[in-house]
Amino acid sequence: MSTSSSSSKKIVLKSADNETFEIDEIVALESQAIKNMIEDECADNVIPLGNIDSKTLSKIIEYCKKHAESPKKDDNADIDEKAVEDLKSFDAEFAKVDMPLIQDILMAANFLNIDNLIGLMCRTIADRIKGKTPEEIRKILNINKNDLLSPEQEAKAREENSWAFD
Amino acid sequence: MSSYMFALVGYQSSSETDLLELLPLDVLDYILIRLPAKPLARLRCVSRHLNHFLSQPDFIKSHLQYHCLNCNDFEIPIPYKIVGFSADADPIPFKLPHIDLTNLIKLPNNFPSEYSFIGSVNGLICLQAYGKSCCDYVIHIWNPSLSALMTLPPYRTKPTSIDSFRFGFDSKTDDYKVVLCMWDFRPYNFKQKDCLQVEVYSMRKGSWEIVTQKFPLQVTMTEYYHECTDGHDGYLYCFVILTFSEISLPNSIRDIKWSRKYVLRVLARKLCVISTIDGMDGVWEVWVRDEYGVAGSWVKSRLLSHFSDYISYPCGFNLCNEFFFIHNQHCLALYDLVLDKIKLYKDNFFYHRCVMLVSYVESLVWVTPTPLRMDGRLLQQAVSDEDNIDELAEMFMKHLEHKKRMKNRKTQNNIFTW
Repeated sequence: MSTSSSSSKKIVLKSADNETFEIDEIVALESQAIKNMIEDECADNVIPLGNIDSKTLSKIIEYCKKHAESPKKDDNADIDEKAVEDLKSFDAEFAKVDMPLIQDILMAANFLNIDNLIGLMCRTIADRIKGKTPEEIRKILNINKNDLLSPEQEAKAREENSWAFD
Repeated sequence: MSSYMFALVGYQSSSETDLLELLPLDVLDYILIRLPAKPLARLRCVSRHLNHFLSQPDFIKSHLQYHCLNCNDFEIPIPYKIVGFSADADPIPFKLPHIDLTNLIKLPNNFPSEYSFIGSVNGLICLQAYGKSCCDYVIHIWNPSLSALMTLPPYRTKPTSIDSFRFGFDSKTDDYKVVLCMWDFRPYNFKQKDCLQVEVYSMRKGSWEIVTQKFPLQVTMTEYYHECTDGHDGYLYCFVILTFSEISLPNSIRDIKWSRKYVLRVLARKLCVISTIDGMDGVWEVWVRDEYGVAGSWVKSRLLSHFSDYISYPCGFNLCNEFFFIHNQHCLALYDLVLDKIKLYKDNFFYHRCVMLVSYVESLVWVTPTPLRMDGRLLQQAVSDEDNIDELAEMFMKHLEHKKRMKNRKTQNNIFTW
């Protein structure tokens, strides 16, 4: 946490399970949705996030803090390469969580409109299903049983795409 | 409470539910568009939702666009045989990317060993294999990223030379087409200006169709040069699927002499002519057509000026605008624009071969014959699913069409297995 934070403006986020998180405004601004609210002056002191639980919200705040502290790409031309590397390894570590949490983070990030985080979660999901069989993918993505292809449909799909199963 | 507050309570927490059904389509698109073609083909078998999403032409198109723009990290040189010329290698990846694609880029084992290259667009490669007799060719469309290969049904027009076919993409109808022209594309045979017979294979329709039209025609151009062919009398003929237009060559190379060699290629999405210079044997220059439809908009590029005397034959530019050519030491060479240096590939592989450079693009364009297996079982199942009435009607029409075609002609529409 940066030292200047004590004097900067604070925002309070409230999770679905009524836990509150006090964060610097600069961290909250990573979310385009909250940024719009603040700019339009429709944010109250406490912003309730009725569908994000505290576990997900604390992960998202962790992410936003790190990214708010790091120098932005468009700030100046010669970016500190070490900082870029540092952020990369942070992202890699951050994504090492189980699938349900990734899903929750992705949904929440999409809802709060945090572009970088949406991208990171999408890439993570894509990486996890690469090179897997349909059965494995169903497990990973927790595919709804009602959404499965009928045996005939699956046989047909497999036949049409037979070359992809070599 | 503000309107934003209202907006900030909108979805259900997702831990126990099917993520893909929950995700907004643009986020799903974001995830899937980055995947290579083969894993996506496998995903089609995972669920109905994914099967539907991945089969949409819009997705296939945007996937292709993404990979055309972002993932062109290497080319495949395709060495091929021409009649009476011996060469016997599979295409190999030229610049290995970060992923191992060596297994992907392999023609099926039972593919004929004598084939030549017709054209390539959007990751699809069109090849012609030699049949039993002269002028009897079998046309194949190959998608190396899916390792799928389709053999086209026979055509009716008798090709006059090995150079009678062209392959292209018709962006208006979103269809891939193979064009067979009855006349020879080579200038000295090109006299029947009035009328010519053209037979066109449409991948969408899955059949050949004979078209006769006056030539040349004034047409509007689409933004890509799908297919170009050498002309004569100082003109070149731009060949856009079923329509032709006439474009005059730069003045200085307009008086085509027989000794002059030139090829048409595409440089940075613009048409370009790479031509020898009169009186300067073996020296090449590049003319780029700056703007389509503007007369006299040829601009001479300085690109090859200081090393053109090494060029034995120009292969063309890749999508990074690097220039490939056959070096006069009989090997493939690349001119590196940044280092301003020529890199030679003295691999035996390229020695004295015909080489065509093709960009490797992850492409989901399903190279399968149109789904026609409409046996009783499938039909019944489709009828029981009431949502599928429109789909059923379409399938049924296709089925009828196919039956008709089968009656008219004995088509062979088989996929190679390997």
